[in-house]
Amino acid sequence: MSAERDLKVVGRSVTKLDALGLACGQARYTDDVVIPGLLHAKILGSPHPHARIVALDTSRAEALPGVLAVLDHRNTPRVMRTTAGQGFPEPSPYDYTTFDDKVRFVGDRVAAVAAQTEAIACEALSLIRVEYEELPAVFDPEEALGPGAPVIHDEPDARAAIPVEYEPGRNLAAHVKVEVGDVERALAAAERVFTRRFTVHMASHAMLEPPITICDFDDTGRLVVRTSTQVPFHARRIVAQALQIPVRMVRVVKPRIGGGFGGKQEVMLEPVCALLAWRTRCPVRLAMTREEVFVTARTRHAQVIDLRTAVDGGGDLTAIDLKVVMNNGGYGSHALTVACNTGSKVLPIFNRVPNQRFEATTAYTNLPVGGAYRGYGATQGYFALGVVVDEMAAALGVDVVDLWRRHHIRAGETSPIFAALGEGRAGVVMTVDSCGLPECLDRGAEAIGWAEKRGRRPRDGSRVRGVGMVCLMQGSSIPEVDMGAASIKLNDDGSFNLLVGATDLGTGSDTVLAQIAAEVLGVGVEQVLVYSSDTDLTPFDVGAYASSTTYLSGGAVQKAAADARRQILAAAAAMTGASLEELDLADGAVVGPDGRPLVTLSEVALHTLYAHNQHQVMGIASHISHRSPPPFSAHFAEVEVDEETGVVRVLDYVAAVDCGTAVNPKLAEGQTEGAVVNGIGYALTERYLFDGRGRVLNPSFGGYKIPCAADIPPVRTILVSTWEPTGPFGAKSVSEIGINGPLPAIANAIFDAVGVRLTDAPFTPERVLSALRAR
Amino acid sequence: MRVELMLNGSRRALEVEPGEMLAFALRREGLFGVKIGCGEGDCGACTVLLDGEPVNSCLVLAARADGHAVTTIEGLGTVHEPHPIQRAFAEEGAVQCGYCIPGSILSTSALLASNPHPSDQEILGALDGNLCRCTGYVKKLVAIRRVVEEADHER
Amino acid sequence: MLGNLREVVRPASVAEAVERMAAAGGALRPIAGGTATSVFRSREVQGVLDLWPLPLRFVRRDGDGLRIGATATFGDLVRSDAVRGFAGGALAEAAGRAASTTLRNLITVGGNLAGLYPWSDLPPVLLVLGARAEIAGPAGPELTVEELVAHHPSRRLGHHSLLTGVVVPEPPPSSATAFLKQGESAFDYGLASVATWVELDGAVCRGCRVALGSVEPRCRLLPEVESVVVNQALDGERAAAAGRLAADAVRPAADARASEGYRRQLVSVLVARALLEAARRAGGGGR
Repeated sequence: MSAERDLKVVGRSVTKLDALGLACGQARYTDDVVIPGLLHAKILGSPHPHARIVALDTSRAEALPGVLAVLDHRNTPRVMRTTAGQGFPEPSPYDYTTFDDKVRFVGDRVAAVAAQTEAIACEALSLIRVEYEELPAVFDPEEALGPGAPVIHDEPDARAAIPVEYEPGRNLAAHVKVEVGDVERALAAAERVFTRRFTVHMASHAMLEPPITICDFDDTGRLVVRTSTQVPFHARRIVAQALQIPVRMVRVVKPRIGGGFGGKQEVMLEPVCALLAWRTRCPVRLAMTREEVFVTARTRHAQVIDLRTAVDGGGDLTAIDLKVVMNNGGYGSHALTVACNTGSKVLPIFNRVPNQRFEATTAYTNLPVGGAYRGYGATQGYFALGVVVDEMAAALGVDVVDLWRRHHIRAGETSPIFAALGEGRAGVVMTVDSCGLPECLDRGAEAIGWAEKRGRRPRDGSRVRGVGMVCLMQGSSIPEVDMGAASIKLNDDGSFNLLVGATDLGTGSDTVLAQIAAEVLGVGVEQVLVYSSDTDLTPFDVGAYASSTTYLSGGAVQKAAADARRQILAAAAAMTGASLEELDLADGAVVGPDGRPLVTLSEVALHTLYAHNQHQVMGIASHISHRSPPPFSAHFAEVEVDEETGVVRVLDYVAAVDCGTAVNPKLAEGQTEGAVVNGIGYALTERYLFDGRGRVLNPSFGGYKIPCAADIPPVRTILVSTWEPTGPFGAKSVSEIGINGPLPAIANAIFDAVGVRLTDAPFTPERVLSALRAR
Repeated sequence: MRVELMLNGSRRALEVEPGEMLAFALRREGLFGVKIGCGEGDCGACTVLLDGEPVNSCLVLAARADGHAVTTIEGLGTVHEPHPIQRAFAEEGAVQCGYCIPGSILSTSALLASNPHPSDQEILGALDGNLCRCTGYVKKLVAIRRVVEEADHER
Repeated sequence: MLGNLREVVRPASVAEAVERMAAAGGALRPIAGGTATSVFRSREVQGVLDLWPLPLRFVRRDGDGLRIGATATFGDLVRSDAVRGFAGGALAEAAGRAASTTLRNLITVGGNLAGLYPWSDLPPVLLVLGARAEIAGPAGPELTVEELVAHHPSRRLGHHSLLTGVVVPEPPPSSATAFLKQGESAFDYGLASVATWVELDGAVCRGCRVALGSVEPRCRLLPEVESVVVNQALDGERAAAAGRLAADAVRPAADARASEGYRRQLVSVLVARALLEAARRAGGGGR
């Protein structure tokens, strides 16, 4: 398939296959089932940030009529593992078991109850008597790593599953350090050195559907786990592990899910629910309340970032020194990988800078736990880099857009960081084969009115305006680590059933994958029926994370469809006597060299199913990626700062993004728009508020403010087209990169408007006002 | 206790607990389009029309619906016969995970019933109680503008 | 689920409602919008008195002013031409800035006033307009809103009296109101909210009232600020001075979202701006 081929389905904004069903309320999410005899489960959380469970008395709870099971550390298997949904063996420390005899953050799991109604389950929780030995708690990562800090993971069986730095004895959950060149020498020899410290805060995914799992049994006694997950196959493995039963006894099914953003790349509820079901032999429902989502689900990792850059006399960057201290909270999910990503997705954008150093240290503290969250470390890292680049441009007297242009990685180039920093393993040598950043910069700058607005500071009373920008790159899948597979079979009428392990969170991946298959097979997308994420029926896929579905799972679909195509053409050659090399697929038929249809797909199907040499035409393929081709983006923000109140309003936002071929432009825009608005909330209003004992004060939408419809500025997405040779029909990923832009772009726009450089997120009115006063 | 109401256009009787909220009573009736996002009135996923007005059904005692009319997303249209708002949302890319969508569409239908030519600000204002994390609301605005245009065309 | 509730009572009249409330002594609570579920969740509450069947959902304007029934919703206020055009429009603005569209179809004038949460958005406007509360039961027939909110209204209303409506007297011509609120997002509890009423005689302010909400546990008028403005030309400098005075006079309750210093600053700015806006509207013959 040549790159010049006209694409018929890929590149079209076909309506998302499930969109109408969702719009009519007919799509079924996890909770949209009626199961006779369903029990309701509730979890008891700790009131203390750090404590040992010295005594537990569940007798009164167990005796309450309607209670069928009470579980805690005494009557459940101790299986050390991670909740992180990652490939096995996971790079996150094994510091967690379903129920432990210690609690490590306020809300941490103590016990679980299954009862006939939710009300009885809640009452049962109140009857559980727990005696805690309170331990000193620590909330600051530097303090946690320092001498005399309470040890949060003092259990002897906490361990790293792969050979990585892990020292729980000093609350070190992860550590990584890489250097190319000689950074200290370059800093010493520099014409100018820029130094800044940044703090980036904890955030909630705030997906609209809280995590929920329902476990039931099929008629052979196997456990069927119906769950709102991004990682059905990891969930199956971990449930089996936690229950100490064979994997074949577990089936995981993902129905429609109400969003994830990384928050459901975690196996938290499934083992508890499964244990309760297994123990009671009854179906069990376990759902998080919204408060539990804020407190006990995962979060974006807070980081303290020290960034130093060096510039020579010619205005060229000669060194970048990026140092991160990351707060993982009470458990170590994604402790190494988010930290690594802060370096691995950020440093390569300035690949020609000869001296680069990255060091990240992740600490345990007694706070809610960090996990995978769209952007995955790059969000934090680009805040630092984006602001320092803006600062350098101002100091050098150059347009920051030109500074980016001068230094960013280009197609055909590589970065030593690609090989140096992987995700817990060695990285992968790769060159960037597609980079549309120059066009992103051109079109984005024009769209926002960069030249007309930059540096003008137009004033209306107490309100001043400014514009700011940033360049970004992410990745597409985890090379050499992640795998996706697909199978596709031909039906009587020339339609296909496409089975993929890949997980659609509402992102539209089912549709994108159907488009890829349809393109290969020469049919309309309505001819491809997608079924996904059922561990019994669909082939393996690691799940929806690391921006891998279009690029990696799409690659598997393309190969599987090509496999089916070969079989179809072979059958057609046999049916017609034509020569195989002369045949192609188009418009639902097998066509000859003149483009005229010889036999329809339906005829091929009927022939192969019923007539002669009967066989099921079915393609199957697996795919791993050998590189992680970055999407690129340039974001431009216009803001208005009220100098009397500190309120920052975003007036206009432009995101120009190169995701290779946009398989479905409208979906690519939707991903970008959603990510940008999420990022704007992260920059301006979203934050966790704690009391002095690590308790979350605002665990509700009423207290934790995400943007509502009345908050949004106009957001424009510009899709810049490039061709990624290693991606299906030239595609790269798009789902994460957008969330990384607002924090730096808005910070830089604020500086343009009022001359204050904000390095602590979020930019609340109070913070902005303080900075203005200190000007 | 017994509650009699007009539900999606037909007279129905429901058995509900005095303390039960409407959202849960409706889901028990199989109306799964009523979603629970927070259960405390902050997110709007549970939005239904009560006498034509969009409200958070997780805050309304089911018993109080007695004698009133309730419309859920199922009452607006189906995949076989979708309402123009449902079709526009689907086709304009305004639906991602879909969890906020029934509520958003019902709020939209109430807006357009009283204001057939809303400004962008009025559209976004009408959706302010329907939190969405996937779309950034951008394509919802596009979809609703399209519905307004199509309705104008038909007039 | 409010597991403590045993009954939902639908009274046939206001008199019956008051009778049943008094007889139950707190075990039966009147419910209007019901958005403050915590009120109904306590164990002593065994039932609710549904106010929706009562003829209390109305908005009327007559020669005396506005008459608003207790179960009129904030959505009703926003949609009412009479309310939007009244005294410069602050009533509709306050209602329109409260919560969200869907919640505004539940939040009632009566509930917002009788429940008087720190973040209640309407009472500050009712204060500056000198509104009166109509009450059925021993606490009635009428109290000024100012009297009602001198303490939490439950002190006056107890379990024996029911707020049935508010009367907002027609303000003099060449006077107008304004309302400003700042939260963290557009759908939020206020960090501070300010209602003002200004009466002009040419450029000179003849009458002024300022009320603060969301900053202290209860909203209240700031007479000390008013006295600085009355009989003066209400220009930017005077408005700013009034704002600073307000910032000094206010006693912000603790709020994890913002420091006391910031909230004082916010009060200062919002008071100044709301005074100028009310003056602008008053000068322009209202809105």
